[in-house]
Amino acid sequence: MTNVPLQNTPSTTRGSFLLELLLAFAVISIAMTVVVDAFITSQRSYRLIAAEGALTKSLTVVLENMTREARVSEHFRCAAAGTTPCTGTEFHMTHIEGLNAQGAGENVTYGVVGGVIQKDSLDLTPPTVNVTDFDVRIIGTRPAEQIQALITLTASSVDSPNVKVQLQTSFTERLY
Amino acid sequence: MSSFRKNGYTLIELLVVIALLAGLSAVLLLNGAESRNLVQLQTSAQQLESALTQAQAYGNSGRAFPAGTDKFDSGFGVFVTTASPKNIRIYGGLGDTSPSNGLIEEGEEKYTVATQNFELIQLGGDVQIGGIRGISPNANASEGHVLFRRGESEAHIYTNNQTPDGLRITLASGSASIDVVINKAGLIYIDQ
Repeated sequence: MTNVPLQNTPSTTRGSFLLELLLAFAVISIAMTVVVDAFITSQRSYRLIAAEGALTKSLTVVLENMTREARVSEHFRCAAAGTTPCTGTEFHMTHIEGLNAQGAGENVTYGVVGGVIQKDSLDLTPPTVNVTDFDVRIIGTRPAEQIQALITLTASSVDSPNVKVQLQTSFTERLY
Repeated sequence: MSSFRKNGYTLIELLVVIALLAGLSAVLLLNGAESRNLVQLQTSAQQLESALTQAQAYGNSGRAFPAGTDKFDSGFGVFVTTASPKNIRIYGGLGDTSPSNGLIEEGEEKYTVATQNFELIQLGGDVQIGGIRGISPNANASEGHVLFRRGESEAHIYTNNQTPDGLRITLASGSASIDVVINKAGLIYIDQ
């Protein structure tokens, strides 16, 4: 067997063929498109989930505050001088015992002003939350029935308007 | 083609490659440092938000403070001051133990080293309290006290000598900053 020296083929010496380069670019482009698309989708999903979580948290805090305050209050109504049953976009009640800034006998009002839930003109939701609906439904007539309030809040995220959350709670007026 | 050309790269090619790598590394390192800074700032803002939420939850539940003791306090608060810009204090034990009139006076609710137990939260990295500002009336302050009395979700807010409706605490790191805002109604949020 004779020892033949290795020789480069003409194509190796001359470098890559244009078609090979184009093919490589095409494959890399497709791979990058898939990876970048997956990354952007996951980022978008994360943002949506985070926005939804933040919305839910904000509305939950409001409903918790309302229900806590309702435990020491009476005369649930939909207007300052309203009666039950009623529906409306404001919730009014009168404190029986002092809690928070209110003393016994003081009235409290919850409502929406410019997309923000307010309690007696103090904001209860952050500027990142746009509250679109604050529905109040109060059923029952004293003294035959216990008064029951059904509060429904609908809000969207200011940064991601497509993210919407609706929360609902109901509570009963205690007998004092 | 010469044998030198066949066996390796020219000095210019190497220098160009090194220059490109150096440029890329510099960009990545600078961006990385900035990102770390922002992440640290975000984390610190969440720490302060959670400290306020924790004091609010303690106030609502009337929990013992410090945790693990049977001490039952009338309220909880968070204290920040630009004089100790790395520290956030959650404290309990508001007011006199036996006030003569049965009421807690507003001045007694403020944090004082002598009378209150506290949990210390230290801000990480280069983050520090960059400013404290009362909201309505709007005025800069050097210290802020946010109090939650037992059973209440609403906050009692004091600065050095005012009782504003809200408080804006600015956390800063380098040129970046994030605000944590709280108002009298008990709303707590991060404003960035």
